[in-house]
Amino acid sequence: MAVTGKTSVHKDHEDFLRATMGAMDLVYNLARRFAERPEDAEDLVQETYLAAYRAWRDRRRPRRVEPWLATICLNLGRSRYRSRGRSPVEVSLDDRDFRGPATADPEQAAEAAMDRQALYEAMRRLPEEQRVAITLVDLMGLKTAEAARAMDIPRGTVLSRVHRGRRGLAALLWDAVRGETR
Amino acid sequence: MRQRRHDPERDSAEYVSGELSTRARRWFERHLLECDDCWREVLLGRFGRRIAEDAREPAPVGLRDRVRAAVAVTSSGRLPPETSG
Repeated sequence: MAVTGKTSVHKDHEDFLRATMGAMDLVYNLARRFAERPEDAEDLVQETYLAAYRAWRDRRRPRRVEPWLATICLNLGRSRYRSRGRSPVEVSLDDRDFRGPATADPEQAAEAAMDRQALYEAMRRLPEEQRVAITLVDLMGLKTAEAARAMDIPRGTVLSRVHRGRRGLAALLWDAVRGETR
Repeated sequence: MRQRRHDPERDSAEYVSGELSTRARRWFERHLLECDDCWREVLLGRFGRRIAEDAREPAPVGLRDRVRAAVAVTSSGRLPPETSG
């Protein structure tokens, strides 16, 4: 079937938006793992979508868009924020012997006392590699094998980072709750 | 069945992520009843996963339109808008 160049470009553009716009919240959350300011995260999302669109137009199209967009966003975020030396304050939780709160229902106790800002702050204080791993797996719903490909590391390393990130969030939130209730 | 060696960090990460095979999951759930280390790691992993899910931020209103516009400009061959960063 003969189509004009203009029609073909328009169809590419529409197909791309239809395939990828549903992942925008997830890409935004991944961008927030790198960017301190929300407006910087928005810029990173836009750059991610433009880079993805150029690849799409060149017929480099993925089977699943989420891992594909995650890989693009990770590469752009790392080069952009590492080169500027801008990263949030991180705390290492690996050495702490956090054994969990001694209550019958720790999840309920902690969630009752935490607010959304405390959640965001806890996420930002994790080491970057753990923050990225749990965003890919727990927020974006990637399989750990997909996250491993996106991060270009072995799957076993992803499992370790995901678990330490989850553990770190539990420890940070529990500290925040105890601080408020003392 | 060959006895598995437990790895509290890796096993609990896979279990909480729902990535153990049916056979491995059955083994791990039996193991959890007798292993305090794995039990504790699963509880912490579940709690942390729930916190991570709750920390999801919605994309700002307007970002969708901004990205649509940028893609449209790129597809038309004009220069995309400058980013602020």
